[in-house]
Amino acid sequence: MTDCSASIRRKLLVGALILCGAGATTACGPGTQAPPSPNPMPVDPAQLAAPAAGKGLQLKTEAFVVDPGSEVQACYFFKVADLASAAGFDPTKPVDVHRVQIVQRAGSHHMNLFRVRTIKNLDPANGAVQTGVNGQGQCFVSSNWADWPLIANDQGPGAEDWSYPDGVVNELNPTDYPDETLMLQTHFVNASTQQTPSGLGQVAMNLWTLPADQVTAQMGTVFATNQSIRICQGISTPSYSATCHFNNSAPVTVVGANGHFHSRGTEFDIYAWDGTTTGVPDVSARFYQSTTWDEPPMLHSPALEANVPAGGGIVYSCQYQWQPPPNAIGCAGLDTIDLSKSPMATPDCCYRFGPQVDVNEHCNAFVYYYPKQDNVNCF
Amino acid sequence: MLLIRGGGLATAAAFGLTACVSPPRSDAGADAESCPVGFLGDAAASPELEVQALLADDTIATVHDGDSVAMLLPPQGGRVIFAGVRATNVDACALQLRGALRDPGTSAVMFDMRTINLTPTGDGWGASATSATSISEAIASFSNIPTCPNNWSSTDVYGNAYVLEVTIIDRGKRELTKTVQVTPECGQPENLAECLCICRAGYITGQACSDGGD
Repeated sequence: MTDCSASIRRKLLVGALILCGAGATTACGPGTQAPPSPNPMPVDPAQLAAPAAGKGLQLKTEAFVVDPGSEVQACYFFKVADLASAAGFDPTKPVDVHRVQIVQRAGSHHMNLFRVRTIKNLDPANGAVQTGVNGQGQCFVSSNWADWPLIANDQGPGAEDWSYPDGVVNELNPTDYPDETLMLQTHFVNASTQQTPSGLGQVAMNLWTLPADQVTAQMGTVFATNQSIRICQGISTPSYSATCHFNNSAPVTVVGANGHFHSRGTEFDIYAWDGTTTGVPDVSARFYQSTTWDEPPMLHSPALEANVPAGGGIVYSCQYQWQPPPNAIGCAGLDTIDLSKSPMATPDCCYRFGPQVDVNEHCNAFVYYYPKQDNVNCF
Repeated sequence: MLLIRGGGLATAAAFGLTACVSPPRSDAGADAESCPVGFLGDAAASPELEVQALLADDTIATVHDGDSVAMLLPPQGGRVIFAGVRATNVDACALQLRGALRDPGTSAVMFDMRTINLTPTGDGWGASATSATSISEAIASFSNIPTCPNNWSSTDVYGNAYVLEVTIIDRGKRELTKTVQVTPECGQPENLAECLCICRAGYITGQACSDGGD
């Protein structure tokens, strides 16, 4: 793999974040004024118009360079109070997110928006933008955001526009979390298994709100990662299934889902689970399926509404087809990584859990449901 | 170290090890599966299995009714029981291994399912691992049953009786489940307090253990 990190660091155009909104002090160019709803979605994130004052928040990155042969993962930090003030909200009041719009340039591997909680080695105090290249840097280390609740995610190019069910919101409450920070993580790949045609990455998103008197339920989110996977030449078509237990005393409704793996992934399934049955549930309980690793579908309401019974949760399963690594890496390269994780392992050209698409695999499930539960376990 | 009552330690010496010969390595294509083991035992006979579990000292124990099993800290966090098998009369390649821990009072269960190759032990049997193995190795060939944080069970996971269920399904659809009554215990003294905290009944995921959890 080509090490372009120094070059990319020189070229990254991440010096400024853009906080847009009718009340923002930063000029956002044409389209700043919110259009009438439904807001038309551009294909270029730079052209995503911000909501009108008091109607929603906008988070947008600058365009940044993704050189051939490289993967760039950038973590952008935003203070909720800053976003709220810039968008014409009272920063001491809750922001009730009801509709999410996301636009990414082609080449995006994923974007996630998290609420910052326990700080380990990825500290917002170290900079509003913290960028990793080719697997290096704390923005690539998933343990850093292990307990950071998910707000939104997307994995494909183009646009996503989702209004939650009537009355359902994801609340950002300054009373519960004073000085809350959000982390927008964007991952662009311009390597062997995925390309960024323009050589530029960028993402923009709008978080539209609902008036407090219309709120009836809180949205809950699940970000589950099966980190004990190992896809090896000796088991060419392995599968892995894991669970999340919701500890819900009453049924909940799943209204959004998508799965994430890399190029060895062949099928990603997510099922409603009763909490007492072992094994992969019957196909009738399946509410999500993806057979396209690089552009997995994002399913959401109103097309998706799946019931999870009391005491239940989800089962998520990943199936893989082992593939040889790119020539520049080879089995020797994979074995080096494998042995760094487990020095006594028998090398077998294995892909372990990790963020880099050419040398690692993932089995990550994203699930959105309501009403929110306070004791969800996805270990 | 956590000891298993009744079963004793099943170590490499107990198995009479046979070296597993690695096949030629291939960078050539996806069809180059390299599982040289094939079928173990008698294809006309019913599958047999013994339930195994990893201990904190990296040894592997056969688990019998009434035994304790260790809950260990895996790379992914929380606590898991690493449950494996020793089996015969099965296809050792691409074997589906499912491990589950069930609360007998509520029937609530936590499970993990994965595809493994058994390593032959030279006596017609094969196992998840044939010798002492570290946690970082065991995560791939043992079922990682997620027992804690405990948001699922009506009692403390440690010190109480649970049912450990282990199932194998081979490519020929031969299937066998074995259940044993076990008592999970926190297996690593160096992080005992955290284990006792996150594995107790009523623990809320994310709750700080310094808040009286232990």
